[in-house]
Amino acid sequence: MAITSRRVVCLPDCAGSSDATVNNASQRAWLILLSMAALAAIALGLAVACGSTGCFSGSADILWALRLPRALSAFAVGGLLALAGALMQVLLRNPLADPYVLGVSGGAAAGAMTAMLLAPAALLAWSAHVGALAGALLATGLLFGLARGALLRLSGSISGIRLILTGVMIAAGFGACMTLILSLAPDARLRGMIFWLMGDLENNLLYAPACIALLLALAWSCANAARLNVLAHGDAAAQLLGVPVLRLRALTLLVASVATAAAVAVAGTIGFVGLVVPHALRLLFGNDQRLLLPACALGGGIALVLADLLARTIVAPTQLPVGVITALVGVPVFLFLLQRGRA
Amino acid sequence: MNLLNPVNCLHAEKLSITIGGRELVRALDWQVRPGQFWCVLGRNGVGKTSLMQAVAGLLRPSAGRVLIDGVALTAIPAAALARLRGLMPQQHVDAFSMSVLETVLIGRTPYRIGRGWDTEADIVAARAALASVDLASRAGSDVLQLSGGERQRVALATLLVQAPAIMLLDEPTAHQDVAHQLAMLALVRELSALHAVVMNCHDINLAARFATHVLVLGADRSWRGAVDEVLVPAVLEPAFGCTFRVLEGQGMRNFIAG
Repeated sequence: MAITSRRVVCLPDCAGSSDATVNNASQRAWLILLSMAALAAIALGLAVACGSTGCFSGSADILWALRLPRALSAFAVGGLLALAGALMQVLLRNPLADPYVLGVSGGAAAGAMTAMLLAPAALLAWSAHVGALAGALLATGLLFGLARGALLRLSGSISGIRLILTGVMIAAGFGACMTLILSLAPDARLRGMIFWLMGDLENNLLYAPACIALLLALAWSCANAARLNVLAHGDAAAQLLGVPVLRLRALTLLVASVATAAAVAVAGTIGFVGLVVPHALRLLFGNDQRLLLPACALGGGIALVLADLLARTIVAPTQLPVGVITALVGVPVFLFLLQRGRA
Repeated sequence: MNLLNPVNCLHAEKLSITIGGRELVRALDWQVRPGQFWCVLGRNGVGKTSLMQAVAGLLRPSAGRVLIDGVALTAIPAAALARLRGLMPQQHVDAFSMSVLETVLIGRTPYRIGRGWDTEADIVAARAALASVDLASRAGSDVLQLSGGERQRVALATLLVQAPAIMLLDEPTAHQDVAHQLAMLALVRELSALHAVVMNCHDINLAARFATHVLVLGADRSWRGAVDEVLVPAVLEPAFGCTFRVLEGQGMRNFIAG
């Protein structure tokens, strides 16, 4: 270790220079994000133009009243799930975490099943959304209540493990409730329930709130991305570098949970988008949250819009639940990435 | 207790640390100033790392308090504190693959406002820090693929770009080969000209050669002072529970245990 530079001992204080020349990293990030935005526009255009009757064939009504809301809800849900997945991964410092790992989806599923079982027929369209949102928020509340100790302590990996175990138990509890409801449900409603569980964009009443939720979650994520980069190095490292760890951790969990709740309330428990998209983008672009988080919002949206396009067209006129496509594509992609051996 | 008020003086006041019901440090009074290079010695589990964490503000002491320039650690805002003190931890858990340069740049966080990108000045500083720990050629490597010793030197580079007034190093030489141990300690001693440096280590001879002051933690008491006063068999033998012979020559003192 040749001591080549004595100047390193006392560096200039750069406190005032953060708006000075930005470097290649930010230029690269903007380039990637703009390209992804262009891809997203293409994917949305395709999703509006194509349907079960082929491409560029539907009437204007079908395009604007049916396909556009559906494409927008697919984009928003995909973006929310991938963003929530990326946030969970950095929060738990585990590249294999997904938005559902802490039980939010279990709560949403149990809530949606309960609502679909009990709702009068006239309100069936709304019942799953409302039930899922209530269940997801209940699960989030339970998680915060039960893991309060782990969230308020600065003890590195131990608190992470407690948080995960608490979430896994919440998921297991709601899973049991859900199975109970499924076994009690009348056959007439069972099909709708199963479709919801696989993830379904058929019913897209909520595309506008979903888009707003995505914008809010993305804005928060971008504003905190630099701090999350530090948090990825551990609670102690972040605390030492002046990041308010306890508050940032709690807010990250809250944003990820609410984003997940919003996504499952709109479209049911669509799997794999929240796991595979952040993971794949991290392999492609690296782990800088300032790039990764907005890239996940765009990439998740693109992935789900395309998956939904496949689901609508591949065996037309039958429409598949989009969760089937994300799982069928997600499983091999994920296994491939895992084989490549970089986490 | 703000006697001479030297800039960025670290002061432990009647500091006690209890871990799992066991009192490791009792009512320690200790002052560290820029220009001093303190080495903390003691047996395994005697509380060296806990003391360092308490002094850094990561661990709440069971009694007493830590002050910087007469201000209690708990009263200093987190961002300001990050410019006053930094700690190079013993272990590093990297969950994600990330370049060495990016990892070092994390140390610039206290000088950034939340969301900013790294400036050219940040990158120049990070590269200079990597060069000073003999890792200039590894800037683009993945931290997950570094050896234990290299990862430790990346952590030292991160601390260098953080450039806090008080530098706390928890066994920085643990994974270093002999040549890198010497180079690292020479660098740390150079740092101590302007910074207050506290280092935990197990090598009494390296402490004797590079440190200016020594704090020896024993089971029920501690010794502190200038290196020549404290590094004597009369202190080391009760502290470590074994006998020591001293070999002197060529301006160095070596301690042979047993």
